Amino acid sequence: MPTPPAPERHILHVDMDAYFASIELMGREELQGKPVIVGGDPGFRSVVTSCTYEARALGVHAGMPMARALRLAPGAVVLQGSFGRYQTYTERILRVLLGFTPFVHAASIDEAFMDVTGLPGGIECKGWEVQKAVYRAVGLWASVGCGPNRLLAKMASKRAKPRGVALLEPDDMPPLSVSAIWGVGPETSARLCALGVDNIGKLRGLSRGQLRAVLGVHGEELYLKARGHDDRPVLPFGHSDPPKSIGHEHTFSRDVLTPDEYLPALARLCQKTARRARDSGFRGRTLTLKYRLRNLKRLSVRRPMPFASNQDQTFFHIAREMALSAIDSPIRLIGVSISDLEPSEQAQLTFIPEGTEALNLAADLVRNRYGERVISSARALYSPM
Amino acid sequence: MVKLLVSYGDLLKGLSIVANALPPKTSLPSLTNILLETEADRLCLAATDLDTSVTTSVPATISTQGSVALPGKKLLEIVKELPGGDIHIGGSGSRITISCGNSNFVLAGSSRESFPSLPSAADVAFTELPLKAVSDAVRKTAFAVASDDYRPALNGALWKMGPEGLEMVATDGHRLARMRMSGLVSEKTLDAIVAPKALNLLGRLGEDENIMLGSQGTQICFKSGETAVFSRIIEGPYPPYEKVIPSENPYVLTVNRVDLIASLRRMRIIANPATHQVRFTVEPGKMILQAENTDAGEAREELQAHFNSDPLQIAFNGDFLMEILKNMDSESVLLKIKDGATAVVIEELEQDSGMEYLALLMPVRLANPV
Repeated sequence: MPTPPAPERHILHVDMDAYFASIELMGREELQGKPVIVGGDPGFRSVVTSCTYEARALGVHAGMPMARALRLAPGAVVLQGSFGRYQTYTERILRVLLGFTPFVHAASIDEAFMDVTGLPGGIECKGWEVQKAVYRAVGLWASVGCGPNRLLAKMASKRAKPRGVALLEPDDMPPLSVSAIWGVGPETSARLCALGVDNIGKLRGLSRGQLRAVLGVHGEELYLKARGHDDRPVLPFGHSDPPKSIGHEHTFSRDVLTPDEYLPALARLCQKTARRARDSGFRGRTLTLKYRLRNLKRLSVRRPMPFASNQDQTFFHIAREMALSAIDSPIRLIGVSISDLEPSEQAQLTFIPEGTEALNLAADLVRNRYGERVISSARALYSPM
Repeated sequence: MVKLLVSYGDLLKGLSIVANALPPKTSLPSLTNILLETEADRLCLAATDLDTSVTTSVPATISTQGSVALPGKKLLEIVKELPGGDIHIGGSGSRITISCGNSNFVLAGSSRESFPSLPSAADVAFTELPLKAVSDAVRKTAFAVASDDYRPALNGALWKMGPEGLEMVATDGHRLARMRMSGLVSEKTLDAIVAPKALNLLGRLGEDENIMLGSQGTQICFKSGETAVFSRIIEGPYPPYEKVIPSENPYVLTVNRVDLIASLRRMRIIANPATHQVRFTVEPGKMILQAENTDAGEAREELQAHFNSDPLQIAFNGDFLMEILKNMDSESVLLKIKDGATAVVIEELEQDSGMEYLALLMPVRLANPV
């Protein structure tokens, strides 16, 4: 007997409009209608984390170096954000979304997917309802993308911005550039452009085999995505996919070359990465050191670790060795991440313990009570800049 | 200037031995060479990666005494493909001709001076040991050496020699192998951490029944027939391994070694590819092996075994356990267990007299024991 076709899914992508900037503007009437940029200290080499639509109209966007943003929008007001405050808002927004369905996946601090399949009313109506409910609860606007899967819903929310709701079906994939497809980064995009494939229409012209030949397994995924197919589920809240990697990066305020200059930052990153690994119950088997050269070229080196670890000191020991042998020209960014993650609760036991578990556990307890910054290893403290 | 005649078989054998010391990658071009040097009626061959050096010599008819360093991999590749018979090597300066039958090759050679200086075995005080026993002990311990660990001492095997016998130990922190041979006593003492490359080379020395073992400064040296291997000793200290060998593991599981390996191979198909976790439920008369992985499915198998206690659960990295069992020789093995968080001692049921071999394996913590 043929299996009946699965009912079409109704997926929403709720994406907050200029999230950090909108929160900063709340209760500050004097800033309304002005270009406002949220980011680090403008005196340093920080990047824009969010900006109002007035700033966007001048060409500013998130991720842009602050210096460049200020050249484009010289009169813009720069505010240094408060991450803790944004998190509080996110928690409130998630509570609103969970009022509709338990199938809510918080993709990042300012966006979430919802599976509203089977709820009464059309999918777009549901989108408007969600948008209004969020505004009523926190006074912030969201744009809502609707579609039969996560990929299309995400592309639809881009189209809905700002303050809109939009629906995208597989047949009306917009003729956007290939980089508009979720998961197509600059590298993939450049490889496709080199073949003359610069928009989704042309991408659809390539066969599955051709894409596999150019991009490997990723090519197969892209073949489906170009046709608007994506079968990843929205899991119930709290059941998100396990992380594939955990890591942190640091951008220096000026290019650095000597170990004295970059090792304290590296120690801090290892400390933060290890803390997050312990917190989420994972240990990593592979350590990756990434760095960015003066010409913005990104480089990375990977090294398998002798055992799965979640200890600051082990990460630093290995990352330091990697950095000393890899970095031979000035860098502007350094990062560390762990991958091949294993759940800590199924750890392979060892009879030569790393010897730092008790120390890090004690530090974690102090941090849990008094905050992340109250305790740190000494080598992570010194920084010439 | 050098000119000599050497038989195909002798040259190929000599080159194959010394080529083991050639580094896979190097920024120093001289290390990619094999040194050829005449000495009376023999041709001496040598290669080094600065940490490990191998020298050997083969009989040759020398017309002009001399020396030259030739690109090692190329030379071995050429000699392997030659038709056999006598090989003529000759030439001067950077042009060295290798001829055999109708084949002629010219390679660019370098001078003896461009080749690193080699340690000499002349002043080493050697102890003679039976090669078979030593290479068996190496095989039974070398698998547990850590690879690329940031703790350098674990990247080698500890060798201790003295009046009490010869002992070899290796561990990567998760498993440990220790071989004690009380019969192999020596007046000279040795306490050195030996690099894996040297351990690997030892297994390939098959000329004599015996091997000469000694050390000099920071080098350990072993010699068999005409071949000598020098290896830089890894700096210690070696971790205090005696402390981690449990003295009282009261519960003993006895099981057929080959059957257990076969069963573990089947579990491996399903087990989590990152942790290779296999769960053991042991009870009097039998043991149950289970593996599960949300992506792949489940596997379960019952094996006949003898166990002297109440049922108990423990989990291991199946690959680690399999490797230990594969390097054992007896028909049955003993697994001495205390609990799911203490190292398990694994021993052969029958051991040769004078040999005391054990392996340790740390369990994998069970997330949800049933």
